[in-house]
Amino acid sequence: MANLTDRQRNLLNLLNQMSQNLVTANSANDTNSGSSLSHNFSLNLPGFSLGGGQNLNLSLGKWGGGGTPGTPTTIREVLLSLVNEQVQVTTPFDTISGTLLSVQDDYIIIIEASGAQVLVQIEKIEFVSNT
Amino acid sequence: MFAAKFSTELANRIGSTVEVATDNNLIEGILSTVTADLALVIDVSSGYGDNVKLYISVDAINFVRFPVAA
Repeated sequence: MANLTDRQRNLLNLLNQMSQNLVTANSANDTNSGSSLSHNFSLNLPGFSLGGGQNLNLSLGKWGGGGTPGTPTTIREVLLSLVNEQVQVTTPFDTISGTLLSVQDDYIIIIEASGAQVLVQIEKIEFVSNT
Repeated sequence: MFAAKFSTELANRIGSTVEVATDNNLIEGILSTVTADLALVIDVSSGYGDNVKLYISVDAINFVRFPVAA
């Protein structure tokens, strides 16, 4: 604790207050827990994690650190933003055009103008455009 | 509505007429058997005579088209 700046000290105080709130909430729910307040704790929030104690580790989750918020990082995320839109998807063999119906774990479903359904493996997609 | 995995969705459509595209080939036929790694297509585009069985690595597939029945 010796070499903390004012900002770090303030942050640590805030974290301690949050941890006490968590303990209060936990003991209200669990009467058998007894006294379980510890000096180290961790918070897990979606897309954001904090580790308490002497070291503060901040990590920005979903989009990666330093990126512009909302910028997709994988082709699957791009595709997810284009569901129900007209798309052109290019694979090594050919380009498929149509309406993007659905995005699954490792493939997508496109309905072509002819009505044919096409299942395209995501890992084979070279590029995607919104037509 | 659709299976999460590509090979599972193909397995649900056994018996359908398909066009399977790999990097360099387009195979037309009837989807016959699908496992996690292999798809078997009975090639019907070669005309009369023996129907050729083609085992295709699922990993090599670019896309599978299910044409609308004429």
